[in-house]
Parts: sequence; C-alpha cells; structure tokens
Amino acid sequence: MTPSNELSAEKIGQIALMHSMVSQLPTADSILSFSIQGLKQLPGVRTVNNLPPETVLNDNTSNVHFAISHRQQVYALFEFILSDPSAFSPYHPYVENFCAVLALIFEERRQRTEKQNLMATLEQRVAERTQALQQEIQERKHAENELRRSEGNLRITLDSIGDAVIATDTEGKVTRMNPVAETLTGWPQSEASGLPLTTVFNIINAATRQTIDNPVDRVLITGQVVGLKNHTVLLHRNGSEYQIADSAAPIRSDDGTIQGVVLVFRDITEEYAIHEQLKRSEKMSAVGQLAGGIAHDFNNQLTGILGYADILIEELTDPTLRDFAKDIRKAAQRSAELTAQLLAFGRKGKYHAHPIDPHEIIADTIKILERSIDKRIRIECNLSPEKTMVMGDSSQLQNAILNIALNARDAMPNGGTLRFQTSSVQLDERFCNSHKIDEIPPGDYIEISISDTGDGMNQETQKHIFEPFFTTKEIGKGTGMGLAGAYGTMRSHHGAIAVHSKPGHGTVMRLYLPRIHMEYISTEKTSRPTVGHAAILLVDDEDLVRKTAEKMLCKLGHKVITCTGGHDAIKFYKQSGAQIDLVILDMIMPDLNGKETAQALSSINPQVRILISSGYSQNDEAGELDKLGIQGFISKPFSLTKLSNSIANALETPKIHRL
Amino acid sequence: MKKLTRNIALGFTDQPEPEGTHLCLIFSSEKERTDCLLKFLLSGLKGGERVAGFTDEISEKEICSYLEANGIACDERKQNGDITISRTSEVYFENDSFDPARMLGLLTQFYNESREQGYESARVIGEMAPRIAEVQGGERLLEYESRVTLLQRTCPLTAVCQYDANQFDGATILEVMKVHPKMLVNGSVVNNPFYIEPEEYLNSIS
Repeated sequence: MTPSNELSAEKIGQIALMHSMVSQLPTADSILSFSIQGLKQLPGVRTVNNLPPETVLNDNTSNVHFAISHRQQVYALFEFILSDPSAFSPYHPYVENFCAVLALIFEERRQRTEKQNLMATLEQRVAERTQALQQEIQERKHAENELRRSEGNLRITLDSIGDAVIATDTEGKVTRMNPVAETLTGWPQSEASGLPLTTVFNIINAATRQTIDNPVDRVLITGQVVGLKNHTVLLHRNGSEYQIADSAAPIRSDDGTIQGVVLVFRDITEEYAIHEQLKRSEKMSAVGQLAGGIAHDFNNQLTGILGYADILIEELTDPTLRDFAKDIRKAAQRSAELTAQLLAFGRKGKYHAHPIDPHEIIADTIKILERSIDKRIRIECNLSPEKTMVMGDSSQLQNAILNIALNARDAMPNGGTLRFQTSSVQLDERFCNSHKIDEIPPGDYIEISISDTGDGMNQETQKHIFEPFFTTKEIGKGTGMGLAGAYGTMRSHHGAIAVHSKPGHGTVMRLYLPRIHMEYISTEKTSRPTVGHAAILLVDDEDLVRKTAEKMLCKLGHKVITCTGGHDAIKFYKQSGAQIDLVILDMIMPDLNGKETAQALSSINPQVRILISSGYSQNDEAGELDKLGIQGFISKPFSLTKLSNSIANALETPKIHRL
Repeated sequence: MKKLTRNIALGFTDQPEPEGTHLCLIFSSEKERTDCLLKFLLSGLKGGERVAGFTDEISEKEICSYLEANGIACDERKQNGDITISRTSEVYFENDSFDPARMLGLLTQFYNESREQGYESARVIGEMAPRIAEVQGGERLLEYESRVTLLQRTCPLTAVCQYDANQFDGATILEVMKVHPKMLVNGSVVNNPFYIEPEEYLNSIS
C-alpha cells in the first residue's frame, strides 16, 4: 500500500490525463462526471460529490472540498469524502490545479457560448436586417419597376397625343419633350434638355412681332394655370412660324410643392388662318351689304339726275344751258361709275350673265393695258389652249381683271413683268381649304393668274386689300375700290380670288371661275315693234325714277303705261296684257317685288317679255329670272341711249340657259 | 521462448506500435473520427494486413473514395476479402443484443483466418454506438473490452475503439478508459494510467 503523504506517479499521470481529456468533453455535466469518476482513483478518496456552488459547507467537516471557480464566480464544488485524509493530502495541489483547469475550461466555454450567443444574435440581426434590406431592395426594385412602367406609360402617352408637351424644372429648364414638341420647335429633346425654355420655346405676338413673356415664369410665380395669349406665334428653330394655343400649368408633388411646369400647346396655324379668313369674309359681306344699299339709293337718285339731264340736253336750244346740262350728265355719270364699283363689291351690280370666254376678256384687257401702261413693264401672256367658257358678265369680269392689272402696274413703278396665265383646274376640298378659297365648292374651274414682280405686300396689307376704300396709294391716286370691286365680282360669279404675296417678291393674284357647258336654246323670233314703237308697261315705286323713265320712253317714241307697284301692274296686265310688248319692272318694290311680279305676269302670259330695272340685281336669281321671261336687265341710272339699247335687246335677245 | 512482437504503423500517429495493441480513441470532432478510421485502415492495407472497420457514421462509399484516392483499389480489395466494412449496429448488435462472447469469437475468427490466408496481421477499428446502453447485454461492454485485451495475448489483433465524447457521458468514458491499455491523446498514443489489467478488472466486476 502506498504510504500516505507520498506521491504516486500513476495518480499524477491520471490527473494529467484527465487534464488532457476534459477539454474534449462537450458539457459541464460530462466533465464533472468524468472528473468525479477519475478523482475517485486518488488514495484516501471514498467518494466524490458534485455540489451546487451555493452549498454552505461546514468548516468542521472532515471532508475536503475544492471550489471550481474563476473570477470569483463559482461554477461547481467538489467534495471529497475521505477515508484517509493523509493519503489524499499530497494531491491537494494537483486537485486544486485540476479544478483551476476545469474553471478555465468552463470560463472559456461560458465566454465561447456567450460569444456564440452574441454571434448568433448578431447573425440573427444581420439575417433579419439582410431580410429587411432584401425586402427594401425588392420594394425599391418594385417601386423602380413601377416608376419605369409609369415612366414608360407616360412616355407612350406623351408620344401618342397630338398636342406638344414640354416639361421644365423649377428653374425653367427643359426636362422633357414629346415628339410633337420636337417637331414644332425644331429642337430634339437630346439637345433641348437642360436649356432654358425661352431658347427652345421662342414665342412672339403675331401682330406686334414682339417677344411674349415666358409663361413658365408666370406659372412658377403664381402657381396658377396660365393660358397663352391669342395670336401667339412659335418660332421654329429654322425660322418658320406656327400659330399656337394652349396653356402652362404647375407640376406639383404630393405635398403641393411645385416641381416644375408642363407646357401643352398645339399648332393652330390652319384653324387660325381659317378663322381669320372667316372673319374677313364676314366683314367683307357686311361691308358689301352696306355699300350695295347705299349704291342702290344713289342710283335711284342718279337715274333722275341723268335722265332729266339727257332730256334737257335734247330739249334745250341755248348752247350755254345745254353745256350746263352736259356737265350735270358728266358728273352724274362719274358718280354712277363709282356706285357701279360699290355695287360690284357688294355683288349687287348689274349682272347680265352670258357664256363668255375668259381668254377673250384677258386679250381685250391686255390690249387696253398695252396702250396705257409704262413701257418698262413687260406684259407676258401664257394662256391655256383649252377652250374654256364661264358664265358671267364680261364687262364686270374685264373690270375686275383690269383693276388687278392696274394694281400690279402700280406695284412696279420702275418697271417689271406683268404676267397673265390661265389653266383649267379641278379643285378639291383640300385644295380649297389650304388656299383660303373655301368660299367656293370643289369642282372644275379656270384659274386666271395675274402676277407682278413688284414690291409685294406684307401679311397685314394682304388682310385688307379687298376692303372698300382701302388703299396704300397716295391721296387722290386711288379710290380703294378697284380690288374691292374685283373681289365682289368674283364672288358674284361664284368664283374666288386668292392673293399670294411677300414683301420684295411680287404678288400673284389667282382668280377662280367655275367652268360651264353652254347650251343655246333656240327661240323663235317674233316680229315685234322695235325702238320707238313699243307699248311698254313701266312699273316703279319711286316717283322720280318712274316719271323720269316715262319721259325718256316717250322721248324715244314708245307708248308708256305706268304702275306704282306690282299689284297694279298685275291687275293691269290681266286686263290689257295682250297690248303690252315689254314690261320694265323695278326689282325692289315695297309691296310686291320685281321677281314676284314677274312670276305673276309670267303665269298670266308665259311669253311676257320683261326688262328688269334696278339699282342692283341679285345674281343668284339671274337664272330664275331668265325662266320667268326676263329678257334683259338695265341698271340704274341709265341714259336715253342705254335705255333705248336695252329695250331693243330685250325685245330681240335669245334666251340662255345656265347649267 | 519469448514471442517476438512486430511493430506496425497505426496511420493516425507517427509512432509505431506493437501489433495486438488495444487502443481507445475518445473524440469530439468529426475530423478526428474520420481521420482515425481512414488512416488506420489505409495503413493496415499498405502494411499487408487484413482490415475491418465498423461504423454507423461513415459510409462505405466515403471510405472507398478515400482509399482509392490513396491508391487502393477498394472494390477489388473488398472482393479479395482484404477489406471488410460493416455497420456497427449490424456487427455488434445482432438480434438487438450485445454478446461479448460472439464478438470475441468473430474477432478470433477474423484474426486466425487472416493469418491462415497469409496476411501479415489483422486489424479492426470500431466505433461504439450509444445504443449499447439500450440493447440487451449492453452493460457488458466494459467486460467485453477487457476481454479483448485478454484475447490479444493469443491473437494479436490490433484493435482501436472509438468513443464519441458527445454521445457518452463523462463517467462512462472514464470507465471505458480503464479497460484500454493505450489511449490516443492529442495525436499521440500514450499508456493509459487508468488502465486496469483484465484479470483485475474482470475480478472486480465479477
């Protein structure tokens, strides 16, 4: 038996092996049970207990205990119940050391566990945060996708709409443009982005040509929707112009903050032109009605003046008095010419429609011009070889062409070229609309082009040239009625007139007249009394006109019966119509007008022959009047000769039929 | 006449050990478990020994892959009977019971056959399964281990017993240590100070 208080190498080796082994054991329980089992091998040890650390030990006990502690923290307690304390005592330092090793292992494991827990917590938090981040990333990606989709939808929408759209930031710099905006401004978005809006969106007032305030600035200041002013013209990058309309509005974020401005506009150049044309047409129509009304009254008065002047000239024997009467007639004739132009403008002038060849009218006009205009002006003529006929009054048409040619002449004070050209054209609706001649329907027309190489006209002048009394000439050098008359003539002939001019590039006036197919209706000529022998029923409500005409007809040797209105005339004609050769019928009468009276007379006698007398005549009714047996038209005022010729023509003129 | 004992390589340690060693490996990591078993089998094959390995934790495929990676034609050697790989539960717990006598008989037979077939020697490595505590006869584990040491005196079969410290409690492990004359500690084979000779141990439990 090993003597007490002597160390055994074998036991020391066991303790050492335990040192080496315990670190491999996974749990404290396993370590402690292993240790207890091992320590039981020491001399004097009967048994070893593993006590909880909080166990209060009795100092008087003979047992030995070792605390397994570290840093004042007790992990466990070994109590050795001994049979021989002296045999055990040499091993105290080794057991203590072993317990210290255990404490170290426990502490290291505690710390490792704590670290693992911390790491696990950290990893869990990292995992949670990673998951949250992944969620955030997913949400952000989703939001980005939504944004891209939304952006895509916005882009498709903007690209698809017909209006132009420009968006700016709060500094008024361009951030987005759609294709229409690119087209109208001439700026591609790639170049325009970041530029001030005023560079890209350059707008001026159509009338003043002054730059208009940038609407974006006003939106940014006021925060309100701003509409563009009327007559706004957008200058394209290449200098071309577009009439535009619409508005600018703020772009607000969810909290109401202004983030930029969106400008929406569209090209209304065509609508604007049509609108302007319409306004001009309405104005011309109103002025025409006014002019026609005044001229009608003037003509009634002039009929009296001219008629009596003619009678006086015939009756007076005193040469001085005869000269006075001639001067009166001259003055009256000049006045009549002026009112004739007014009537032409108002489309209420004398309109005796015949099938005519416009080329003959142009040729006659050129003959007049060749004799009268400056030789430095060269006249060129390029007429269509196609035989073309129009229905119209050759006198009025010649006046219209002559007046246009004279204006062309006046535009070339230093000489130039005056060119006449004709061609047969078929106008469709698109052409009529695009050439501002929408007042005429599509169809077959002859285009008479009269161009000069003169000064040309600006837009503003072009707007007014057909207005009565508008002139750019010096006072006394123009009545301002020439082109107005031409305009009225074209309208009364169911035609149109279009002007194309540019300052410094001359002017082209294009006249459009409807072409016709002509058919002569053969009429049997009846043997009628000619001038000086006819029985004439004169119907006119105006005393002055009626009395003057009666005297003139008597002077011409006719037998005259007068009526003051339509009803009287019908009543008389029913009773004594058979003896009447010709009815001279005033068109405008208060109770029954000329047309209604003519209808009534025609129903009594379809062969009735009627000469219409009027301050003006409605062109639209010309065809209808022909069917009513109306054989002529005499415009007031009229002279003896004119009256005589008109009566002769009325009694002999063949009927024409307008298709 | 004194019998000469041959030193052999165990594979998992550089130091040679005499054949017929009964060694205990207490491990706590997967690497220790695998390294020990594979290296032990490999060194035995390379030394011309017949080898056997019993484990529930390492697959036969894994073992063969390792051996083939080290120049051993595993399938061929298995067919030759050079290698025997079996599951612990199948070898130790036949009929759901642990019979030390049967096991000792198997070991004896394995060794004797090996010798008869011309092998230099024979070696066995086995990992004890914790299920031993549940099967009939499981309480005789330490008796069995002690008798293995006795057997080796006549049949110097080299045996390594693996115990997973994570699967057996500390007291059991220390008891296991008492019946193994040698221990593998920190990569070195050491004489076990807790070892009790079989006669003494068997006497103490009888």
